[in-house]
Amino acid sequence: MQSINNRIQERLSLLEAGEALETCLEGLPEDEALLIKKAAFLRSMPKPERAAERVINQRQELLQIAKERKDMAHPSPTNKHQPNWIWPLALAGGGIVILMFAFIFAVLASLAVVRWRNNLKAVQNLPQETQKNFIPGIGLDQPTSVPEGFNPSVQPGSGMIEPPDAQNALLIETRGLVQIQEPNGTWNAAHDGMILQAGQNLRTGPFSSASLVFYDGSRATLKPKAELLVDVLDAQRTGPRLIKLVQKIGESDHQVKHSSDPTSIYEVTTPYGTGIAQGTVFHVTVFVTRFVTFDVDEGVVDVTWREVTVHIAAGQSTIVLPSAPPTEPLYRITGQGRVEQTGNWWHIAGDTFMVNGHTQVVGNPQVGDWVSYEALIYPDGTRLLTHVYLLQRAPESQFTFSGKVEAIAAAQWTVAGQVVLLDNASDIDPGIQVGNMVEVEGRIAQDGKLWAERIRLIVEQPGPPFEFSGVVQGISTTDWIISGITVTVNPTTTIEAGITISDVVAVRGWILPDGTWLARQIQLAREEVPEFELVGVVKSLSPWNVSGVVFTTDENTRSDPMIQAGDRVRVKGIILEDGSWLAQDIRLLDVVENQEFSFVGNVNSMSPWIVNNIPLTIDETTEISENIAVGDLVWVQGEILPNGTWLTHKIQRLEHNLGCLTQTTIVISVDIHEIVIHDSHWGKIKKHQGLHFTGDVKEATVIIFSGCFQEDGTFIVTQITAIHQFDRLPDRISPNNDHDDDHEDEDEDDDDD
Amino acid sequence: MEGTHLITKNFTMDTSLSCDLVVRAQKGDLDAIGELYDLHHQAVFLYFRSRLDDPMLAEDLTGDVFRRMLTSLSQYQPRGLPFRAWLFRIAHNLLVDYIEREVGTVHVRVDEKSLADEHAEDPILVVEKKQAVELAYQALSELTPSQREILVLRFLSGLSLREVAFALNLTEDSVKSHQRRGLASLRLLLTEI
Repeated sequence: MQSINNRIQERLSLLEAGEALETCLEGLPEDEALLIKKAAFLRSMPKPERAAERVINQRQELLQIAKERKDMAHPSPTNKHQPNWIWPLALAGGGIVILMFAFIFAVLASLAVVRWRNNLKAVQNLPQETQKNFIPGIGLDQPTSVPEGFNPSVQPGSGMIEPPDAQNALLIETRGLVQIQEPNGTWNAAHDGMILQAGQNLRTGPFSSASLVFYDGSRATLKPKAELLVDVLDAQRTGPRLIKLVQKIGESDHQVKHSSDPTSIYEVTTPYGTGIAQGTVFHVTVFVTRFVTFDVDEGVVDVTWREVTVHIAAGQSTIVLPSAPPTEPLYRITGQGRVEQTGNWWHIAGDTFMVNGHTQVVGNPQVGDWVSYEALIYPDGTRLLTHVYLLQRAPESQFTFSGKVEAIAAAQWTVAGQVVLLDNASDIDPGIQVGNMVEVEGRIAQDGKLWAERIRLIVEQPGPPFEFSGVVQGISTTDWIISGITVTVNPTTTIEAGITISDVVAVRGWILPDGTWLARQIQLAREEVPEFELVGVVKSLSPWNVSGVVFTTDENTRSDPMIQAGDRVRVKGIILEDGSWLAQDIRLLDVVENQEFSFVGNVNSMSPWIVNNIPLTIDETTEISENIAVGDLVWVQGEILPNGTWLTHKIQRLEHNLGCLTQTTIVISVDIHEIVIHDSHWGKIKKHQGLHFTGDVKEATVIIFSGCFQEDGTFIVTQITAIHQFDRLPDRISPNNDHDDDHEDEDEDDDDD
Repeated sequence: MEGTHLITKNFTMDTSLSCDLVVRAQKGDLDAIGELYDLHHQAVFLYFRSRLDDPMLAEDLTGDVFRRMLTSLSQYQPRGLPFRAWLFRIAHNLLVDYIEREVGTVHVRVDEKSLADEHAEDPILVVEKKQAVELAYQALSELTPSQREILVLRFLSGLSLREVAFALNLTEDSVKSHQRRGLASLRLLLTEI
């Protein structure tokens, strides 16, 4: 029976083919006929027309750009091929024609000179290697080779460290897709060493960032997907400094040099609220949900909105909503931890956080996953999560192994003696048959069953494989630049149609012997948190550098302690929002790479060894951590022997670390035993031998404290740093009055959402 | 003269017509690039205009689409994919990008001029039609984003089901489903039309 969707579409097709409405409605039930009528009405509605002048200008501009590109690609022959009769004809053309040409030429030439100067200024400041590839009017068209020691966190600098004068700002540390808006409104790629002046906009794409250095030494850094207008710029080193920026969206950091002139201004205006600083370090976030925060790390920032100004000191923050003045100063908390509950209230590492429409959640973290987070603390102690970013899926659920495919069915495969189940999300290389060698990755369900998330065919490869996601910065017929890495494409490369500059894509390929990164597949990224994976040779361990790519690690990164420079490893990890690469797993590769397995799970039995319901074989060479008990979380590594035995090389106990955090607050009182803080959750910090202090901590000190949760759930503070001293406690805070503040309702802009 | 073929009202053209143009445009043929612009600019503009309250912004984004088209044209490979669908994917990405940045409103006011021109001979009809169209645009703005996007592309910009599916990276079945639900919602919102 034909579905209603198909029936409707069939009649709409008739309508689109020009059939009369009555014909299209014949035989249809009345409720379905009404839908067709609505579609017919939409089709017949008068449509807004464009202004002809606007269309003409836009068309001409488009053709001009196309012509410039064509000319650059295929330079016109010089006048030496002009026939001799041109000159007499031109001379005979008359004064008017000559004057007209002269005038048009003068206008075009002056425009060209301005553009050329801007480009030249930019090119002169580019690295030598980059200059060779710069094409005026187009920008960096021909990508350079993969830079040795490429660090996704930092692109090569220009060498210039300050702008030439107070009216210019120097662009540095560009990463990913960074663009400057030209006076005609077009956005062009921006690179280290470019100069910005008042009136120019700068924006960043996903996984991208850039910094502006001003003449007085102040600095503004744009985070991913941010846009900033340099509105007024006169960054004098002596006398009054005037820097006015307009932040339209996204996040930015500001380091403001102290100015001795009291009339100096460093101002950041957002859609809701303006922050004015003297010598400070602060952070501004304009959320897409019409919500602005100012976070101050050093000094004081005055934030004004709706004719109300609040003074935000180091360690404090304020929220600005369209409908209300800035909140009174709030404190903030950042950390990492395991998610214990999601919903309207999240539990992370034993702490409770409120979540609302402004909370930015990236990666769809689930219970058990490891996340980083940022939150603001209301005076009543409520913690509002502003950002949650998935760092790692629950390790209990992960596995990976390689082996021969023994059976293939619709819903399950058998690989190396293990049954792996498939669902709609399973990503399987095409063409795999029984007998092929494959690598299987997936999750282990509560009942111990293995669910495959990815099955990859192991084939003879032209080089070690790589895989990562990034933002497209450049496209040519032979090379693409993706988040700063140049990958080569050839006719064998599968490229998803429709990909354009600034799209986020996933790339797979091989690193060829000559160092070329050859892409075998480029497609739009499907994962919200992009991942990377590469096989290569370790060049250094501090910082980690594998095959020329530098990445970071954290306490959750699993790596083999035996790895040394020169070893061949496989690195897997995620690409953080700022574009930096964080490794989650670094594995030493050896000759039996194809038969390796690795997973994390709970110990079911130790005699015989069973982990996550998988029976393991151990021998005298198996390395087993001490103090493992049934129920512990362990990391298991080994190889699958030809007879199907899972021979285990290593069983390592993993600590149940709940998480760590860093929080700002104000000190109410201090005695020899404890520090009473203005925070209803913690209340006080007990002094102990392992607690380190930086600075003088006393009443009315704003402090940053950090620590970690222990396995039993207790929280141990290990460091307290004084960052700001008030003359006295604010009126609304006193030792006996800890919860009397007005609670600003963060949802009061519902009408705006 | 260039201006004589700028406004192409019949933008629901047969997409196969543009195949040859695209090949020529990929080779840098300026006439072909100009013709591609003529063929598609109005539909692209309508798409933005139906989603944004600011006509100048819709104009600017339309220009951005064609500039991006120039940048990426060499990468376009037909493989059964209509050029118009590829172009509207660019437009869709730009719109998403813009909305993410600006949280733009997604409704549109009716241009009085275009209505008045069409029914200048009958003032009563003009008023009635204007009210109906205003209600329709208002109703469109109350649909879910997916439904609104699909109805605008299908019935205002004139894209086929397959083109919409590609432009929005959806399956055709999904487009059909959103299309029916959107029309059903519209029926409830526009009972008097």
